[in-house]
Formats: sequence, C-alpha cells, structure tokens
Amino acid sequence: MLLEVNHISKEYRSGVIRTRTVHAVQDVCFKMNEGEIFGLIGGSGCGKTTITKMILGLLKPSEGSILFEGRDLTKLRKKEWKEVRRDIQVVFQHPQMTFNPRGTIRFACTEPASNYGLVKTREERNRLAEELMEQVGLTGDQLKKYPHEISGGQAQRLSIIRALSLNPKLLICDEPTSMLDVSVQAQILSLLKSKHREQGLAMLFISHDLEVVQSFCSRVAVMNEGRIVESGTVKDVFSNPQHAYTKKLLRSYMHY
Amino acid sequence: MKDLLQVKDLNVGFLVGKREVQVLRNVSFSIGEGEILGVIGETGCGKSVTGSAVLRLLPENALVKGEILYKGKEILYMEEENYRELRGKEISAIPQSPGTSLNPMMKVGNQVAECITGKEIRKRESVRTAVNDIFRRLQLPGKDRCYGNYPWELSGGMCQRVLIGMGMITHARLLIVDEPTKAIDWALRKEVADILLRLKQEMGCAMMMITHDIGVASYVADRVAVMYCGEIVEVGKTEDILHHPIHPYTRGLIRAMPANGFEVMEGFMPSFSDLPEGCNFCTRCRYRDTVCSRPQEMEEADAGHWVRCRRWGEIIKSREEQLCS
Repeated sequence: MLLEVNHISKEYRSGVIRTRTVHAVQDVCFKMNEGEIFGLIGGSGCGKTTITKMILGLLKPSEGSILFEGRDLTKLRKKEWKEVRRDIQVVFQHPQMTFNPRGTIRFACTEPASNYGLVKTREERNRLAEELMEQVGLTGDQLKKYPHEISGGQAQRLSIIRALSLNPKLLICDEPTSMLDVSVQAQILSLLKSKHREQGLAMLFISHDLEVVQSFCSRVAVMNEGRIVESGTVKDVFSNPQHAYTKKLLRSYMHY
Repeated sequence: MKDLLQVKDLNVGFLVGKREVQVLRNVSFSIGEGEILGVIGETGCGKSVTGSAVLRLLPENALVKGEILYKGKEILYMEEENYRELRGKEISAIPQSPGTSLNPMMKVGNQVAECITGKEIRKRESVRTAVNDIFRRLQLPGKDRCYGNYPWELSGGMCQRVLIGMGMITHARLLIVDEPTKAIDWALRKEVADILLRLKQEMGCAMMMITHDIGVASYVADRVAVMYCGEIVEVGKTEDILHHPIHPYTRGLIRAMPANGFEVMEGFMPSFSDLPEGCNFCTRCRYRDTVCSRPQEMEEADAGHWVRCRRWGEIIKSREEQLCS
C-alpha cells in the first residue's frame, strides 16, 4: 500500500463571538496501491484541493491520519518532510503561477534537483536542464526564457517533467489539463501515461472532467460536499453508478 | 433559412511596430436566423478576434478588410453612431471569464440594468422587474435577492448566468458567446449549455458560439466551423464535422479527445508571423503532398460541408478503405 488516507477531516473556523465552522473535508478514506492511477472527481468547492494540500503537508488535518508507505504524514517534523517530499510531487492547475516569475526556465526546471543536491556544479545543472527539455519536446533555446514567455501547454509539460526529475513514487495532479486545449491536453496526458508505464509512477489524478478520468484512471472516487460518496473501478462507477450525485454528474456528460 | 449574418473574406491584421501581422485570412461564414454556429479551434487561432470584428470592438491598431453584412446591410464600415444602435439591441455579446468581466464594485442587478437604462428610458421599477424576470428565467437561485448581490458573493456558474442575462436582456437577434464553458465545472457546463439551447428555442436567438470544448459544441451547435491559424479550415453541419471530419486538422483534433485515446498531433501551431507557404497545416499533416504548398481554397466536399484542403477526395477515399479493412 502506497498511500492510505484514514478518516481525515478538515474544518475551518471563522469569527470570534459567533463562530462559524465550515467542514471542508469530512471523514474521507481511500487507499492507493503502488503504480496506480487513482481519480478523484467532484464539482468545484467539494474539497478536492484541500485533500491534496493535506497529503502534501501544506495543511494539517483536523482529524485522521495519512499513511505514506507506513509513515504517518500528519506527525512528521519539518526535517522529515524534506525526505518525504522527494517521493511525493505535485502538478498544479495553473502552471505559470507555480514558476517563480523572476527566474528563467533553466532555473525553474532544475530547482528541485538542486534543492536535493542531485546536481551540484553549473555544468551538471545545464546538462540536466537540456535533458529534461528534450524529454518533453522543447528546444534548448527556451531555457533562457521567462515563465510568462512560454505557452500554458509548454509550462504544464515543464512543471510535470520538473516534478518527475526527482523520481517520485507518487505524483499528485490537481486538475492538470482543465485550462488547456484538447490538442495540448492530449500531449500532457500521453506524457503522464508514458511516465506511468516507464517508471511505474502512481498518480492521484484530480479532475472534474469525467471524460479524462474515464479514459485515464483505473479506480475512481466521487466527492461531493467534502465527502466521498462513491468509489470503485472506473468501469463500475461509470457504467453502474449508485449514488444520486454520481448519477447527476454522469447525466451531465455531453457525448459528441 | 435566411442569413442573418454574413461574413465575406474578412481579413484582420494588427500593426506591431511598423510591421503588420495578419491574423485572420479570408474568413467567410454565415449564420442563419435562429441558428447556432459553433466556432472551434485552439487558443490563439483567431476565434475571439472574429467575434470582436463582428462586434467592432477590435483595438485601434487593427487593420480590417472585407465585408460583414447583418440582415443584408453592411456594418463593417458603418458610422460608429449608427452601429451603436445595433450593438446591444440587435447584436449582443457574452464575454468570456465571468470572474473578470463583471465590475466587482457594483451590484450584479445594476450591471444588468445598465444595458437597458441607456437605450430605452424606462422607470426604475420596470427596469428592476425586467432584470428580475431575466434572472428568474436563467434560474438564478435566491430569486429577487440576487439583484443586490456583488459578483464576489456569487459562484462562478452564477456569474456566468449574470453575464448571459446581460447579453439577452435586450432581446438581441444575434449573440456572440465567447467561451461560455471555460473553467467551470462539469455539472455547470451542462447547465450553461442547456440555457443557451433554451434561449435559442424560446427566443429564436441566433448565436456564434466560440469555444474549444468539442463536447459543448456538439451538444449546442447546429453547424460548426473549425479554425486553424486564422483560417476556417472546415465548416458544415455539426454531425458531419464531428463524426465525418475531412480536414486533417479536424481529424487530429477529434482523435485528441480523451474518449478517443488522446492521440497526439505532431508538431505545434506555428506563430502568425511565421506561417508555412500554402496550407498552414502542411508541416504537421500526414497527407502532405506537393499541391499543399500552393494556397488552398474552400471546396465543397459534400452538401453544405466545405473544407480547405485540396486533397479532400483522397482523404475520403483512404477513410473508406480504412473502414472496409
């Protein structure tokens, strides 16, 4: 078992005298095997991103535990996180916003590797940068550019390859293609799929696009209002939905 | 069907420094009364520029040539004052990205009311009822309370509906809808598509729907035009274009859909200042031949199905052979 999410909840409180509590995530459980692509679907505001943030340690769950290879992520100290983050990497929805706008592409795509001391000298860094660019079909002269000068699809491919430069065991993809065109989306998905095949990479694939999830994932969980309402293999959930919300989602599927 | 809007050989270029970058090349299409034309294509292929050209909202450095006829009347070179009579009342627009198209400091009801108060002077009360009426038609939750909400109090889907309300409150005959389903989630996407369909059925509103979402286009549009690098490469009935595409670019686009196995098209869209000679798609095309380096014309491959590829005959033949084998 690679990742076990056990009964996690997250609540936000606001106000001093009349406190309001928002239950962003309630009692969510799921398990992921090594080398599996697990889909998490649901409408906006249902708590999908809150879950990713808790797995990444960017938010602390109010209750529950998250086990990654048997280690409880909610009890890790800062130093231990540095080790674990090498194995858990993430790709966000807005690629351009995840790059430092004042650093070049060369800086952006070698930053993770140099943070972990995998490349030390400038030559090594340059070699790595060129290698990475080649893998995603970009030319070396793009390295001098700044993040705002490249297109959304290029930026997304770079952020994927940058995350993969550390050889993680788990890649969390938070709506990686929702801002992109169909043709660019195909490039991103086939890049992810080939990495999955080559490296046995496990992926937590978060999306609201049923079509992508159906063709990309093997198992899927459906979320609504902070809870997982249904989960199972893609085939079962899509052909025989049980919960009312899943049925509603599937009715909005627009076949072409 | 009578043509409501006709666009003939529309060319648009932008002056960048002293150089002209041509963005639209001989774009021709027509929209009939009460018809929805879906315009699909990748980001930066000139879809939105076409929409802005019809609305005459292009920036000042744009160089426009060609003809745009609305109800048979030339509107491209019309006096701005006369055009203002049309814009809003006859031709209206629903802009993209609801998050940024609304004024954050103003109640949404007043923003919609703005569209009619300037044009027809009416009592404040009747304006308010008209706006509430539209909100109810669009099934905005909260009924009349919505009038007093600010955009940031509403969800993305509700803001999108407010924008649709702005576009339709003047009962325009032609709506230019720019990316209505961009960045909204799956359940809302269907809702917005249903609203557009209802608009067409109840009010007989014609639409030019700009989108890159093939699912929505197939659900809503009567006809589809595919754009690539500032040219329309294929146009015809929705069913023909999406299920029996001819142009290699359209075929690539359909095959790139996740349900069809997200097959990747070779190469990238070239930039407008660096287009190949002849057919714009020739450098990425698997049917490339010597005729492709000559300029391509629109040819009618089937009744009402036009395609900008000289090799359409051979492509159809190879498709049939594939089907047989």
